[in-house]
Amino acid sequence: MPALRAGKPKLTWFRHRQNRWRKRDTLTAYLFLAPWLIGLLLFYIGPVIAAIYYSLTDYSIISSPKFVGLKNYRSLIEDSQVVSSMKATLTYTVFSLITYVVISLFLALLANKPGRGVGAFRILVFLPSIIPLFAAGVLWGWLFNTDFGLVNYVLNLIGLPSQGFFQSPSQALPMVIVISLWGLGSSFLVYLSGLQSIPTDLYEAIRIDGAGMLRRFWHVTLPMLSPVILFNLVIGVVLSFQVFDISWVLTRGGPADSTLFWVLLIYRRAFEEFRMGYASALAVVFFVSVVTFTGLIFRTSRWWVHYEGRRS
Amino acid sequence: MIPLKTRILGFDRAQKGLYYFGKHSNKGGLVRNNDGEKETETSKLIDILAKGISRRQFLAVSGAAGLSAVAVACGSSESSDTTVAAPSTDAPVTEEEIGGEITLWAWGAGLEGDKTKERIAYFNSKYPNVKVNWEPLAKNGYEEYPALLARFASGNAPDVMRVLNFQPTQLVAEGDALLALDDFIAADPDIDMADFLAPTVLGGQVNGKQYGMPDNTEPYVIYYNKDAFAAAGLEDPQVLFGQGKWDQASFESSINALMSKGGMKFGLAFEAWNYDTFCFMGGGTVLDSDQKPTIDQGASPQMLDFFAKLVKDGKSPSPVVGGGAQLEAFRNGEVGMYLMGPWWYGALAGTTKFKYDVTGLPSFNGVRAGKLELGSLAISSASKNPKAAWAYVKTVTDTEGLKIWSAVATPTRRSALQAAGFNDEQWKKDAVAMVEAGTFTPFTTKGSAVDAAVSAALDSLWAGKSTAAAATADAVKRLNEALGS
Repeated sequence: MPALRAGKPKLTWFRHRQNRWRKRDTLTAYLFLAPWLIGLLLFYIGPVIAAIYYSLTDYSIISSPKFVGLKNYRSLIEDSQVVSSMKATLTYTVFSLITYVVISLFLALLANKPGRGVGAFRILVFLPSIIPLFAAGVLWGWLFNTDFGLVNYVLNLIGLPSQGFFQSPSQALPMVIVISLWGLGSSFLVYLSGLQSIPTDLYEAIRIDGAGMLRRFWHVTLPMLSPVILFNLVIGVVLSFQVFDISWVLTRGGPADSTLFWVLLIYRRAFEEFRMGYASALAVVFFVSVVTFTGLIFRTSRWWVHYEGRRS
Repeated sequence: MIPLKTRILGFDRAQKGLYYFGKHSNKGGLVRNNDGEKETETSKLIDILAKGISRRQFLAVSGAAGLSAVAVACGSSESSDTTVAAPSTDAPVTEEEIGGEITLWAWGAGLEGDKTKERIAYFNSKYPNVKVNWEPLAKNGYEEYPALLARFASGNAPDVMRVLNFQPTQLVAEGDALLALDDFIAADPDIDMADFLAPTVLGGQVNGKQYGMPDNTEPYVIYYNKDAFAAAGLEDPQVLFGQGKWDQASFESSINALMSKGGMKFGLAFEAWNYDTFCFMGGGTVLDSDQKPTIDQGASPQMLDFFAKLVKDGKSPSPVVGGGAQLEAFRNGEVGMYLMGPWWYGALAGTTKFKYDVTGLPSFNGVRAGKLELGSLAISSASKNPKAAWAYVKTVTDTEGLKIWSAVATPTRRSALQAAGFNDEQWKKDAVAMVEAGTFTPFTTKGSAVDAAVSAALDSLWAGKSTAAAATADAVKRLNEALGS
């Protein structure tokens, strides 16, 4: 006992020192994190809070904001372009997600097979995504120009009529969706790395059980890849909702508002009409929509995402 | 939109550097000073302009004002070249007494930047004690407009700025951000507002007050392939324009002949965002002076139908949003004529395999008219040095200042047109004639919302999916929504 008693103060002293070190370590960690945290507060959380505030005001940048309550939100209902932009954005999101999630998965599966030319194939699929969509958009605009474009020239050569493409209210949105394929290199790369991290012994085991290609895909590849699919799905939803550049370059929201996406509408209201309060209300609705969609995906993920072979 | 048109226009200008012009002698008209009688004429003019007037009314008032000005000028007392009056002081201030610093928000790219430098040097030769802190704009003033608004919001607005088309209206209506120049103008015997081309004066006015000093203007014109016209056996459009025979009939027959005999794939190319030019060409309008939509009335649907039919019949390429395809088609010799502002004249030189020239727009329904792009110099209402700011504005918009500027834009003063040699070339005279016949859609506080609304409605017309009547009816609906009327 005396020995124990004698040791107690020593232990207390040690713990005290340890706590001080821990506190110092924690402080150091926060100091290292500080630039990022400050940036997050100033440039992300701050603007979100500011947008919520401004959405309740009538604000044109020059004059002081005037509180108008929910007027801007009520005006959203009366704005016919809100409906058309919502329709365009949702259509784009659904179809571009199919390309972003499904087609890039298919391409990744092809690129994951060993064989001659697979390296070149991987490069070919990934290469377009390093070209900014803004620059690619200009190129596509020329190729699909109604009167001077190469595509219509070829169509005419084989006896087919010229198409309106970006000039046609019915074709412009499908064209934009097709062009969005240009950027699937990043999701392709994520899938490819996901595929390569699946342990080969799982495939060997299921092969011994006599499973064919489809069963291997369904029972091994898909479950093991599900966290990657979730990642690509979430990123794809966010990116699709944010679509702006391709429409800005190619169609400016036209023809007849067929490619007037939500972010383009926000831009117009904010920086062309300077209705900052109204644009903020649009941005808040946009933010809530993205959060809701992403939340739904996460909510459903427990049923279909498997981490290390187990459901989340 | 900020008008797509102006956006593209600005991009073009920033990228290409500019033109041009020579002289035009059409001097005369109103001299304005601080005499009571002339003020009455000016006030009358401003009042009418504020309400929105027809070109005929404007010319009538200008003429009356000009006559009275001549009468007063005959008996006017001596005026000093070296005084500047500010609204806050009664006593004249000499040039040497004006000092301090001003910030200038103005174009800074390419030739425009060089000419701005020259103008600053010219100003400093008269006002050596004023330091001009120039903030050169990389583009055209449209792209930078949100940044300008942010400067106003932060209380750090430049003293002097270039403002374009709807910008003065918006800046004044939204935050009383600009200084009315009427008192400066009235107190300054050197300022001769009648020397400015009438529509350019209107472009700087808001609610009857002059907020912008006319700095430059751009009319819309027709570029044409001279070789193709010759091959088709057509009369030169410049000759027809000069004879007053450049009208719908000769325009249409030229389009047809250019395609059938001139080897052109298309007779005419135009941009969809020029819809208001088309309306004006036949005497139509987009909005009336009370800012009520009128695009579905009068000649506007007829004119839009005319241009849409050219597309439908394969005589014009589909109007393209952005991309510069129409210009390239003209440059490549696929299109016989191209309707655009004159800013490409210099940039096309040496890039075509054919001779080209420029003339005015054809008249429709006996009306010669077209749209104008307008630029003014304005002073911030929060300027800490308004006297020096005014000194800069008035100096660089005097005859000599605008003569310097004539290398990049059409001068707004008749005296500057003459001094800059605008009589040297026929196309320049034709362009000036289009300025004189020019007009613009009344500017609203909604900025580019008018363009966005109409452009969206007319897309289906250009795509051949709608009639002019239906498209303009849709435009009216969208305009009412955008303008809150």
